[in-house]
Amino acid sequence: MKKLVSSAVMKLEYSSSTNLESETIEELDSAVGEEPGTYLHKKIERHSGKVIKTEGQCLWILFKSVTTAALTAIGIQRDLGKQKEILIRTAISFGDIIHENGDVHGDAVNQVSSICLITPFGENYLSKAAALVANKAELKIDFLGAFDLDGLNHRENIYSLNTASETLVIKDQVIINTWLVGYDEIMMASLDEIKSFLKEHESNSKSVCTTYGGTLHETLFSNNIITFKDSYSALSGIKLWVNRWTKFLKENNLDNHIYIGVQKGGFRKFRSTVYRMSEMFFTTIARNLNSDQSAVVVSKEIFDEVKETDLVSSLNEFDPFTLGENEDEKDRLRRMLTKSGYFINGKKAYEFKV
Amino acid sequence: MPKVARVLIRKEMEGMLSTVIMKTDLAGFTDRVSKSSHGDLSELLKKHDSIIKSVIDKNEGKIIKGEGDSFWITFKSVTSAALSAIEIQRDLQYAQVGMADYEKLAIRIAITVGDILHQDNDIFGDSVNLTARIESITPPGETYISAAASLVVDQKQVDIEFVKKIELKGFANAEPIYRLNPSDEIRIFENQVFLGSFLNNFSKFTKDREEEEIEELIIKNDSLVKKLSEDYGGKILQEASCNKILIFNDPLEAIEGVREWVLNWNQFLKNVDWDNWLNIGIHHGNINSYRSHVFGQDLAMALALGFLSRTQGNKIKKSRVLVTSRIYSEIQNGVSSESIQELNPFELVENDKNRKEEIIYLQSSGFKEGDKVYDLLFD
Repeated sequence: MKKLVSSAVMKLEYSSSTNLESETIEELDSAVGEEPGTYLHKKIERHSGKVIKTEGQCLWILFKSVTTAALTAIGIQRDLGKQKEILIRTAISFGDIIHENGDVHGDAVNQVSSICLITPFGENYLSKAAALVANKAELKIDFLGAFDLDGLNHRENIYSLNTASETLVIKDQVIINTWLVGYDEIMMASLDEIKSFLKEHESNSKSVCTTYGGTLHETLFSNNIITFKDSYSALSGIKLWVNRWTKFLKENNLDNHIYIGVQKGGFRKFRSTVYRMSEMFFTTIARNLNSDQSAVVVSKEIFDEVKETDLVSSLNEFDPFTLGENEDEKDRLRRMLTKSGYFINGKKAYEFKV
Repeated sequence: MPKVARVLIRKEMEGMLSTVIMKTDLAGFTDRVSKSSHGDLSELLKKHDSIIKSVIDKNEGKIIKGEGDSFWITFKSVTSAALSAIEIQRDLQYAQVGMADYEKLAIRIAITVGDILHQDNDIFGDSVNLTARIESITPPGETYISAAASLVVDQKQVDIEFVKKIELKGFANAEPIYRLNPSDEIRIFENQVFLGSFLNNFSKFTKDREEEEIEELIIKNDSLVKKLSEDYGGKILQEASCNKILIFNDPLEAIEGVREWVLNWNQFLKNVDWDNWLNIGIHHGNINSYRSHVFGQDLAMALALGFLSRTQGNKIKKSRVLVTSRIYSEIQNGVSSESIQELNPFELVENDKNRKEEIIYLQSSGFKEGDKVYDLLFD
């Protein structure tokens, strides 16, 4: 009996969007800005794939797993998505196949060929076995339906790889970033004290969001990242928060002041990870502004948005380059502010007096 | 009243018991049936089944009937039903850490109490109907309880809040409905192994790379952590920006799982030619959790080790796992001594302008002069 090996097989077909016969693999490479003959092979090798044979504009590739085959397909589709000239379609199946003289044979090979024929260009389809084997934590797979395929005597369930990016892009928001003094120290206090402290902190952020339409995106130790659609709501919420927090600190004889930076900006969020956040240096400025009470510092853009409202009387312009308790602190802050590039045009910061 | 009727009524009354009823339902299951394969569905139901059964066994609940994606359960008290509901929701959350929202299961739970008829291993009565109605309006991931249950539950143990009066089909008056809030107690995880993990150069990576590559990195890490949780009994307590805090019961299991994670991660980095090394600090002790916060002196030590490992990461250009001397003493028989290097934590601090602050950080995290830490040289 010839040796059977459980294998993930991919058939990849490329084509020109205008002339389905004309393109060569070199043109596909150049479509993604790579040297001829390098792009596809690099992409396949990166996921430990092995090209078994080429037939016209088709490549037969073996992978160590369905998941890596699928990730390769997604990667290539995404790269090609940036241009419109070359299109690819891929089909992936999984099964026990015969490896012989550098070629592969078996039902899974026939199946992948038939599936590829019904796969639209720009898409990636999987057989039922491949969909079952794939790691669902790494892929999003949609069930398409049962299809009659050429050469197969039964209807085959076909699945499609969902390649859409799921990153949430949050743009043009008022972002507030909070920081509490002495958070690490208070976490070493008695459990009752810690509970009362955290409960008040969470209840404040929750009620500010509920009352003023904020969205809490991330909590990490004492830091909260909250966004608002407009500056007036954000500052009204902060006013409530700081007043309640100050009262709580006084009642409990604590000095864990809250420092809040407010600025316009955006970020991206994928699963639990927030990234490409505008640099939150206004919180650092607030920390340096006042060491014996809570402080809120806002950017010029925030000031401009509320300057026609009743809140303007609570906003005082100041030069953040003058802050810092000692020379070391001053130097460190100045370096950070210069590096941010924000203040180069003489922009100032504004203290929000609550 | 004829004698026969009196006997029948008495017989029925014998089966009439004041009963605490819980109904659970897997939200969105019908939708999933049409989109998922049989294998996926079977795995989904197995997970749902195992979480519910393990919690109700512990709290003396009794399954009256189960319908795959839905269970009817009775309890001896409203409080034990409520605590079970909190536990089910929490365990389900833990079991799904790292999964995308569309993959996650959510359970709706409704709890009522009332006099109902128990007959032929089934239950009948107004409270049964009320439970079904309340369950149908409960948002996924939440637990709603009836007014009667809210009066009975021990509010020292369970935090509830009024939602609103809701018109329910089949009931003449609007029913006040209450929500069960997640536990308000500080949870103490005693005698646990926990780790803090960080990725090198993650911030730079997110600035320089395409969105798809960032997703790939996050998905890969989440997927390896999910495997670690499933195979070695780890649970994620907190995660943000690719940094994670995990706990385990057993040090050897934890180290074995971390070894697999690190080796797979290194292989992935090698394939894609990225430099986001894993940096992990591990310690054994107690850790506290309250709502979304985790804290405690022992945790501070693990995080400080993870931090130390990270500051070194760029120099040594590889993933690094540092453990405290307590972990070392617990695992030294399970790993070969050639694969462990003893280090002085204070000598690992970078020799730059932040040195003073980093030493203070180490001291405030519980490290003293003379303490040793151990580098597990997995590769």
